[in-house]
Amino acid sequence: MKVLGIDDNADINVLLGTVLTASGHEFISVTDGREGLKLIKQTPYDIVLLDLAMPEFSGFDVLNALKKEGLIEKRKIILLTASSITDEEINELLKTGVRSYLRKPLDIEVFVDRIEQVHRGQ
Amino acid sequence: MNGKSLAASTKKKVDKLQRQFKTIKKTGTIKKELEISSLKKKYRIFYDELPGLLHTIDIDGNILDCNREYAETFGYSKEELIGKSVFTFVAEEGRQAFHDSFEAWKKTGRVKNKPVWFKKKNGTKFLGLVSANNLYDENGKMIGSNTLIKDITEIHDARSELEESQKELQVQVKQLERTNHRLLEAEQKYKNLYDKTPTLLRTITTEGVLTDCNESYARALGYTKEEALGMSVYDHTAERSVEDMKNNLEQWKKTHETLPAEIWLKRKNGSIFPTMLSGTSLYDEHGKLIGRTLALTDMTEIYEARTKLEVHEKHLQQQLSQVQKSNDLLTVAEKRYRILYEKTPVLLRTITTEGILTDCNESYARALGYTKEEAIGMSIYDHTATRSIDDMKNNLEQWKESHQVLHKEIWMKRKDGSIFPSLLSGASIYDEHGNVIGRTVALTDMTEIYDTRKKLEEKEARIREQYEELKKIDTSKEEFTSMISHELKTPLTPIMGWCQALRSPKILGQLNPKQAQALNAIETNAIKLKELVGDMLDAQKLDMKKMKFDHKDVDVTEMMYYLAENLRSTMDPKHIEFVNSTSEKLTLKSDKSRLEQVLNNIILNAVDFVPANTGKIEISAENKNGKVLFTVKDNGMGIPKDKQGRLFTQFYQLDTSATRKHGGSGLGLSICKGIVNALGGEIWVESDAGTGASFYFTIPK
Repeated sequence: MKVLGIDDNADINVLLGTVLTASGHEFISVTDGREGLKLIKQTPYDIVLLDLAMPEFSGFDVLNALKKEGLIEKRKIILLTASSITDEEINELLKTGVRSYLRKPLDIEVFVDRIEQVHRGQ
Repeated sequence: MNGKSLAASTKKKVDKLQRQFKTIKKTGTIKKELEISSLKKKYRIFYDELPGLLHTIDIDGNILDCNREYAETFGYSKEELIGKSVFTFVAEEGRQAFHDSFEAWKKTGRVKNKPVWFKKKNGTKFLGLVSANNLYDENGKMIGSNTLIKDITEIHDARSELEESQKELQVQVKQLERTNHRLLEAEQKYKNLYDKTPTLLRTITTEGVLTDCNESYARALGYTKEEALGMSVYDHTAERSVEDMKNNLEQWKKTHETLPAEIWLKRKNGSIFPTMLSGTSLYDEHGKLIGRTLALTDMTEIYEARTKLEVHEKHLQQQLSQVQKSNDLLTVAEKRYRILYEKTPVLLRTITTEGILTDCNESYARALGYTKEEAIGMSIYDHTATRSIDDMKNNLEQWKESHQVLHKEIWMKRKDGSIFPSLLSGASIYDEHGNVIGRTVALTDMTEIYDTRKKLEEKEARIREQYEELKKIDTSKEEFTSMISHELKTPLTPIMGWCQALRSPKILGQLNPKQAQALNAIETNAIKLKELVGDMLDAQKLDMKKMKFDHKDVDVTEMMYYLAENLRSTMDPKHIEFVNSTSEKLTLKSDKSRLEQVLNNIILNAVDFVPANTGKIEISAENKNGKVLFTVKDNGMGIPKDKQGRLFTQFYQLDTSATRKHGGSGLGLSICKGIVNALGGEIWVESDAGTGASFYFTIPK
């Protein structure tokens, strides 16, 4: 499957890319929210990994923009969040059509399992 | 020579002559003519010289002769007179009387002794008293008379005067008689009054002997008036009043005043009755006390009435004394109120509904620079600063509508125009019909308060500024902490992620044993760092009360089971006996993950403190007083009593080798306490040094 990673931390993008590639998946990543949004609109990736806490154009901005175009439901988005974001906030986001979330620091095995689950539509 | 004596002497002479004349007549004139002739001469001389007015008239009143004095008196010559009628010389007013008198004489020979007014030649008149010696012929027939006229004008005048004074005298006598009569009447009346008045009256001497009494007195005592007079007052006084009577009498003799006294009198038959005694002193013409008249009012009826009255009065007296008492209390209260009003340092004024001062205390007057007298009668607006006039007006209107005095800050104006702030409060005054007639207002001088408040406000402003600054600092600190936590966590994700990736052979290939050992060290420390950052964030959130909690059903029994199972591997390296003794089926409405965090924290602490191989940790949950009581019991070294209190404060660590070995943020137990308290429970420890420690916490259901 084809996965898009949007995270301002390039090290994480490399890590995720390494893990996913080892599992036989295709991974493209960007470190800028706006660029990520552009790619989401252009290409229907199998999975989008979206970091919420990004400078300038955050994950929330990306979601707001997608919501306006009715694209959240159509894309399979998994949120990557820090512990500072509460369960309630995440629940609100899940209601808008976001598929799942993962808290950082990530457990690699849990991460791969979750992506595959969401891809299968579970 | 007065008229009276002249007349008398004249009469004597006339009588003598008549006697001589009779003698001569008897001797017989005819026989002794010579003698007669000489006698005639002598007679003539005598006739002429006889004092008084003498004339001789015939029976018709014609003058036959007259003496010298007669002619001189009337102012005629003898020749003019002789032959004339005697009527010629009678004055008009006397003529009728003279005529009657003359006719009477002619018939009877007697002359009425009645004075007649005569008229002289010159017109003057005189009053003459006529007496006559009749002349008879030889047959005894009356042929005329020698008539003597006596001038009695002076006598007449004197008598007239006498008569007039007599008349006056009579008038005076009559007046005297009338006065006397009235006096008699008055005396009679007094006598009647004295006798008939129902009041018992007696008059006594200074020795107490009755000199008079009225009928009422005598009757009342059963005596006749005659019997009573001359008796002693003590005979009429009952035994019981004898002393009083004596005292009264002595007192009277000393002071001449009769004091009213109640005296019991004794009747003739020995029965007694009460009287009220009063009286007046009697003095003789020299002012000496001679007695007194006493009025004795029979008091029998009054006495009976008084007995009744006394009972009444007693009753009344009791009521009165009660009223008096409450009155006294009122007076005391009023006095107290007055003192309070006057002396309180609070400025007090009483005003009408129109805002005119009817009263104020000294504090008020002094504070405003007036005397109290000046202040009373002024309008409150005279005492109000311009800036507060509207407020004062509104307050007064408001009060008139609602009868309630609203608290208000009012600026007052002194006599010298200076102003000061005061706080107004007060109470309405009502008349007996409940109408508002005024209010008493207390004005608290706020100058000091005002100054203090101003200072306070300034200080507060400064504090607020400082607070705002601090808040900013705090916010930035918060932001900083949050940022640090995030920034610290961010690198942990790739570190821990790469460690995992390296451990997985299918991702980056198989590591040799030394590489794997190095990777383990990296990963273990990364996990510790993650925990430290987590503690820091939790402590921060609890401090700021920003930690959010779930409120969901929690299956406590199940939670305890999985908790024990998950931790079991942690116990293995030290061979700790780990027991979960929760047996009841327990549920809570709470935050499961936070409860797990607390339990984990306490249990992992215990792991550090129990000895290897013999260590034992027992966990349990049970119902206790409507709450769930969690227990974590270990057999470690225990916690000294003096350190238990500080155990749950931040950054407190027991200074032991075990602690150092465990490390940690020093926030663990303070976070536990923060979470338990936030969930509505309590956390505490029970421990004796050397016998292990038991941590307890409760969570309400």
